[in-house]
Amino acid sequence: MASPIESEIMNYLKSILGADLIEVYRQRERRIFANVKSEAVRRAIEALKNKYGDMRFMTLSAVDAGLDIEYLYHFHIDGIVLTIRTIRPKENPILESIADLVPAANFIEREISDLFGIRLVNHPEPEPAGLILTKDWPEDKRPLKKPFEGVLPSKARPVAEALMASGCVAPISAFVQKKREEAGLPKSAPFPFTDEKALSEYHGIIKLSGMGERAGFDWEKKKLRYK
Amino acid sequence: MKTNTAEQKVLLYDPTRCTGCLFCQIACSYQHFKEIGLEKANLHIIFDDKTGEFEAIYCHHCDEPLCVAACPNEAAVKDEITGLVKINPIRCIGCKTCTVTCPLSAPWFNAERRVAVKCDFCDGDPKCAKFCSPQAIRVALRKEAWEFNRKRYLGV
Amino acid sequence: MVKYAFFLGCQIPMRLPNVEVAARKVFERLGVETVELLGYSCCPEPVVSRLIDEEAALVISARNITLAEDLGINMMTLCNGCYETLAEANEILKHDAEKRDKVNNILKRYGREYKGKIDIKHVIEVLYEDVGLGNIEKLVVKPQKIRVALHYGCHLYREYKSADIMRKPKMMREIVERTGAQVIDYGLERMCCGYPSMQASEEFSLKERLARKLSRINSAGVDAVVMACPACMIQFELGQVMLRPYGIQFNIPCINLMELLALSFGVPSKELLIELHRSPVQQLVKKLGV
Repeated sequence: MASPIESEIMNYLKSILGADLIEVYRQRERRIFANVKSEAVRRAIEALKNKYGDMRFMTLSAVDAGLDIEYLYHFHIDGIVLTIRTIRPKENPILESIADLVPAANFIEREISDLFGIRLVNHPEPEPAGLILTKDWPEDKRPLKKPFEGVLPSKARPVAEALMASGCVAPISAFVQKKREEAGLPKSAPFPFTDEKALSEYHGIIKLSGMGERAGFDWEKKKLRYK
Repeated sequence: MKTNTAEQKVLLYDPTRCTGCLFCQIACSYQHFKEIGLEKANLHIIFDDKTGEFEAIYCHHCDEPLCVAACPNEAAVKDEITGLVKINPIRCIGCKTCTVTCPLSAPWFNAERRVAVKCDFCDGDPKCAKFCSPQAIRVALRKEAWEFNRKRYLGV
Repeated sequence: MVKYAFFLGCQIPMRLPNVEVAARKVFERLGVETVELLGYSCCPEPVVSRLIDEEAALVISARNITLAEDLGINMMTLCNGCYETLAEANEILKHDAEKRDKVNNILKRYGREYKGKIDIKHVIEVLYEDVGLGNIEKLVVKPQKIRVALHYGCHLYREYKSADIMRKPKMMREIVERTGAQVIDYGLERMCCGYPSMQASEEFSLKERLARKLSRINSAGVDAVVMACPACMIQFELGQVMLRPYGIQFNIPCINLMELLALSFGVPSKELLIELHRSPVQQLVKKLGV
């Protein structure tokens, strides 16, 4: 059972974030996790700070999850630890600073920026790099940065990409297309990519099945995020 | 009290059904090492060109496992209830004794991880059996396996 | 008149349209009505989807099955792989209520529902059970007087209706015999062509699987290899080309069961896109004079 203050925090987050709040749950006693969209983190912290004057910033942790970096902002409110969790893609490694709202975040953000090779946005220090590592440290050799890799083994990637993008795993050549027409067959079999409605349904079903997310598929480019 | 080992689940291989497509090896390799390959697998299918027969090397999760008896560090353990023999990679010191003692050499030494690895029955749902089209390798009770293999090797 | 939803799969329309043409001609003559499955997708293929993402594979298969359910008729596949994937998904969804609910939860957003009302059949089952050997034999106007070796393909052994894995392979053998061809046993019929292990190790697949099979087939002295699966077909034809750098030369024609039937039904070989074969099928056809 959530205590009154625990449910108050959870309900408050729900009310201020709305659709930007992906999930909020009480993991165990005096421990709340909130999964928030990355653009709403600052808004959430600002609102919490206004409501709970005694809110204390504990720390920020970053975890390299292969394709994304997961950021966990830990706050202490009246004996309860609230963690705001957000995910940012590694293709564009930037982190929006909260040091202007919470001055204590200044150093930990600089540390993360150093160890993961992340660029800080709106950070109070003009040149935040170089807190832990030397300033001439090579950009591609950050101690905590893992390779940009998804779950698919390299041999499976082309097939998975074709399966998710078009619904057909065998590529068709112009020669075969010509031969099909010669034999009186339609140019292509009725795959989803031949019909817009079927394709959007097919993509929708793959999205809902979670395969795209698990495999790291970019729905805008219709490609896997990694090679 | 000793559990009834005849009712435990094991893998059973029937060479008269096997096609040698090696999907079992690929599935095992992906399940345990996230690779699509043939080398890193906990079971291997071999083919004898003279007789034209297939044979599989896989862990039988023996009633009295030699790997457990030989392990100097108690890394290989047998679960008395499920009957599964597993190697704890944290306790394993990589001495390779189990790979030599096992008559089938079912545990093998993984040079990358520097420990011995073997079939762990995929936590009750073996992928090799799942992907075998002719069901040459399947999950069966130990008593069925006894009967089958007695008939196969001893002819009784 | 038998009516089936026609599931073509990926490999046949995109890489082996010769099989599709032959199949359509054969069905036309046999009076099997085929209904197109509009917007069908890959079945999906086993390695990437069924092995790596089981959940998503089940959803994709279920969607394909619902396309046929909407038409209210059973589904027929030309490809062994599609047969196994779809039949397996059908079997799982019919018996596992938990997985079925999960799949239906996703499908219902697009107005679909898996009901478990239809059967998935391989084309061999359709020819044997619904059309009948007698009706096939009646249509054979040009008996193919050739010696053939058979390759069934691993997925054809998947069996849900009986314990006998040779049920469908035996049917295939009988169908081939009715075309007038003489089936030669070479001892390694059951062995895999090596297509699934191709992704894992090309050399192993070609040398240990394909070359072994081909050398037995070669010494059995046959005119052609007949197979049911398009993936095996690609492996047999492309594999013979790829074996050349390893110093192993074979030149054995490979044809699909559908093409053999079409030829024996008297369909002129010109209409069958025989030139798409990478093995010397053209010479075989010339020899047969069809």
